[in-house]
Amino acid sequence: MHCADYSDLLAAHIDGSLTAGELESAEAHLATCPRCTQRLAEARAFRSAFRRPARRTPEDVRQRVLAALDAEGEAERPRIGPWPWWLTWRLAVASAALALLALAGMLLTRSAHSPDMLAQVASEFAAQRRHVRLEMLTDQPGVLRHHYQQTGLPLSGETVMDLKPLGFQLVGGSIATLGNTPSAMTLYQGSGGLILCYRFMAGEVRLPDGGEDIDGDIFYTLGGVTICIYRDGDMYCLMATSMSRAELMKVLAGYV
Amino acid sequence: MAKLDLQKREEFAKCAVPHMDDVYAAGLYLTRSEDEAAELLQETYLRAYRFWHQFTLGTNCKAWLLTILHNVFRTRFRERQHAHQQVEFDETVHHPESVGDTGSNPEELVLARLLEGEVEEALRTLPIEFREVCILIDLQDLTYQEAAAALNCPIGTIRSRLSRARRQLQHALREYAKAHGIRRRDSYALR
Repeated sequence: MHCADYSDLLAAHIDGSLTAGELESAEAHLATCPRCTQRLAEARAFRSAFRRPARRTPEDVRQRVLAALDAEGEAERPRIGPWPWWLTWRLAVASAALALLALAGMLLTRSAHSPDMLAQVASEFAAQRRHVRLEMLTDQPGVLRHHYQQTGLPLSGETVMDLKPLGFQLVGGSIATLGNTPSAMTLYQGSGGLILCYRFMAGEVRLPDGGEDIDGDIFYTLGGVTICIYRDGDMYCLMATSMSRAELMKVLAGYV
Repeated sequence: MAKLDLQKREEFAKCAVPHMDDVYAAGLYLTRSEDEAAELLQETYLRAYRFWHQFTLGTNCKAWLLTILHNVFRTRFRERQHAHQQVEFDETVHHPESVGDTGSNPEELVLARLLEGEVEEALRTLPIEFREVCILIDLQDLTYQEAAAALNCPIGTIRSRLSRARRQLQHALREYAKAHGIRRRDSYALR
């Protein structure tokens, strides 16, 4: 090993980051080189005496960064504020909610719509942001079920799913009106995205064309939004998510 | 922070926000400007929040934030920096033996008299490639592997840059000490 080679390894030598082979070579070199030995001693002393300058973030800068994060979170995720809860979603989530609302409205007015029209509705909404109101923010399904019961909403079955074992946390819910029909609107959030679920009681509803029937669940894909509709007696469930159809099916299969 | 949401918000507040001082300090040494350091800090934290899902809980969050910081600096801030040619350290001129008044172990004694401000100033004079490594390893305690990942370069490069960076710092601080009449004898007298 030459002095230049050792020079490049000096810091790692002091920090104990040499491999066994490198250490052996370094020590062999030091045994024959007083100059590098002295440099090692000086560098070691320098390292131990090196004072780390302490710098604190100025308070105004800290507050500015936190405010920027706040704004980012507000735009990206449901915003938690004082009652009532207002949620603002970015594009994908907003389009999921609004495409679902549009689809639900169409179902409940029993109008006939082509898939092209549905896609148009979804894409129009996809370019906008909207606010969706959640009356109750809770991660406890029982609490939200009780809230729905208190409203006197005619619902049956499992009005709020417990998707936590599947990686989706309950965010909250609200009573929303689809057409003239009140429904329980529930929001779940997981690492894969959000799931918005409407449940309502209705008679016979004519589903739009273009859906794919998979074991009784009807799937639509509108503007990047996956929508699933299933029926249990007189109760309908509409789910919308920015996840893919396969991902949603996996969640539903896991829940069942 | 009160409005950030749910699990992501809690994780971010717990893991990332406590490192803000370290990230700001690193940005300050990189940019040498308080305004740009503040801007760099904000951009780093916004990116970290947006890509929080890519962070693995339980790993070194500070190293992850500093990696983002360096990426932001390189892509957005570096062109703003004044032209700063990397000057190869001339060992025939700057070797400690040529400086004079050096004993077997003067650095610790001299540095004992130096204030943080001088160390900070000396750090700012380093060429950017050396400064980056010094910031990550000597100031922020990243490992060589973490620094190599943050700067996207081989560990061998990290080692040689750090060796040179420290040598330049040594020289700069000793020159400062000489200029201000700080000598071994003075340091001994303090003890």
